[in-house]
Amino acid sequence: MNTTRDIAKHWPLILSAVILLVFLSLLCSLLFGASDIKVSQLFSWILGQGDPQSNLIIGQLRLPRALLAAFVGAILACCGAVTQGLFRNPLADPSLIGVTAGATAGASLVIVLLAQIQHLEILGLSLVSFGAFIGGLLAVLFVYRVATGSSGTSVATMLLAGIGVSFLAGSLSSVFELIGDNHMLRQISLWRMGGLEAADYSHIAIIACVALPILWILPRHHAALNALLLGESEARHLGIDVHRLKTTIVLCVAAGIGVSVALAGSIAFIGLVVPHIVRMLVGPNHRYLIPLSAGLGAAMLIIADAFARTILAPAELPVGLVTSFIGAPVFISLLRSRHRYGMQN
Amino acid sequence: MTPLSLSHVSVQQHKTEILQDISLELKPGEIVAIIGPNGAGKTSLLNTISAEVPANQGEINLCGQPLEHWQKSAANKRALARHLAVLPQFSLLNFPYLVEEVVALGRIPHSTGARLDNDIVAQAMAALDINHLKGRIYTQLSGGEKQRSQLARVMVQIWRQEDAATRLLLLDEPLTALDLGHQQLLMQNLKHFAQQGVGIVMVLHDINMAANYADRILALAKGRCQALATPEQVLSVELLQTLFDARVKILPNPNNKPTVVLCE
Repeated sequence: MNTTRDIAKHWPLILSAVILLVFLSLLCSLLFGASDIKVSQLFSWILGQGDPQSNLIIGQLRLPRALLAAFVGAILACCGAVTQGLFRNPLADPSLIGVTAGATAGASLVIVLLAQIQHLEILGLSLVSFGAFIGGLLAVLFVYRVATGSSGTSVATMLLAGIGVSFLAGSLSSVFELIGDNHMLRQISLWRMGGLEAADYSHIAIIACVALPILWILPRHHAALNALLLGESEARHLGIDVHRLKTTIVLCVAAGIGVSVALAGSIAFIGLVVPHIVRMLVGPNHRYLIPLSAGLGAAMLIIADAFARTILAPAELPVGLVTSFIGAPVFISLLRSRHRYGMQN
Repeated sequence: MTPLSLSHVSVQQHKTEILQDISLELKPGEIVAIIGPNGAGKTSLLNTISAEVPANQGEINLCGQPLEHWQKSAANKRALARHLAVLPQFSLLNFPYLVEEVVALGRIPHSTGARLDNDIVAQAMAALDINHLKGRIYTQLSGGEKQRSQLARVMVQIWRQEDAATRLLLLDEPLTALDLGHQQLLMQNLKHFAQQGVGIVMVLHDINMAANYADRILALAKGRCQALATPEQVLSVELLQTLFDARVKILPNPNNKPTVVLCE
């Protein structure tokens, strides 16, 4: 086990290594795909001297997709880390507060009920994405309202309300599936598996507008989140404005997960597994946990997406399936070895 | 400045009286032990002082300011944390922090810089005999070791007089998981802490510890103050019988403090 002092001393080095890793995986993902791009072609594209074909494939198809993967991966992992801190439970996941289920219900509603106009676009977003975003946001707001009383927001109530809302949204989705035709069903199930194939630069602009503020705000609360792990009253006794902290985190998570679900569907396990792995490496200190989770989450989703594009080429695997297939076994093996790094409950 | 003054404080919760008409004036450097049977309101009293539970009547002053003043803004809440540290009865921490990281959490309200904070953490860990636990994972410690780590954390929070002139420490049953030697070490540490001017209010179940180390004892039963005076004045067979419904004897002790023993 590394001691804190070692991490503190080598922190700039570790952080630069992770940023380098994200860049390397970006470059890798530009090379892999259904059609061959050689390293020399990639370099000439980087220098602005590429041929039209590689310009199209790298610049218009692979780069936006890899950037979207980077943003979505960073948001998922970062939000996962702070959700686990908020619930003081290393197995918590942003979907616990109802975002994912709400988003699925919203997307299903648009696919089934608004089938005629679902190809309309708002700000470059398809109506399905828009429905998902609204659905996710409504679910979180509802959960938050239920859990907030005169004595503040109860995290335990939020968890239970999240389960309730997820069930409600789940049955709503089932109703839409029941009345939808085969084509709609196929669309819904594809949406559920998550995918990044629709990526373009307007999507990158939208997600950057959400991701950058979140990735700036959340790390600033590292000390408060560290104190919160002790318990809510302990955090209050350390001078933390716990209510404000909770509101900030819930808003950030709702916006972040809402946008990433809207643009990339539900992508499982990144939010759960990445913070877990980082905690095994550097401990639970949020000062290191949040930035490292963001970096590793980005790298992991970029690589998973490159995998999803190549393994069945020219067909594609939904990236959500890849992350589940990798994430679930990793997660189960973590569960079996967690006593070794001090996770007991 | 008085670290703590309560005047005629009453608390109701769910229409039942939890505390009634409690008054207490704590002098700097004074140790007051709260004793009483289970459910007497000892923890509620600490929670009321630390603003976890609102008082329905009466006034609470912390370090020269009314309690409401400290709750006004985020800056005031942070400022209060430099004056007041609280050790709860149970700890929920189940994340694998290193022991020194747990202790260092106590420095969060301060902006004194990493070097000084590390110094203070090292001093507190030495004082509570947990130096050898450095580098160990908190969740893998024994109950007593965890308790000493948490104690070091709250002491680090109000360690220096330079950070806050008036300091108050609230402890809820700090001795429960400790062995005999570490109970003594802890009480000596608290005595030493009090000598630097820190006011200490602690809930204790061990009457003899209270008799030996507290300047005054506050006896609580059913939310009411039954006695508030020196151990010699408070500890009588009659009071202990009404408080705890226990048959006891009181023996003299070489250092002139009363010693309570249970009869068969």
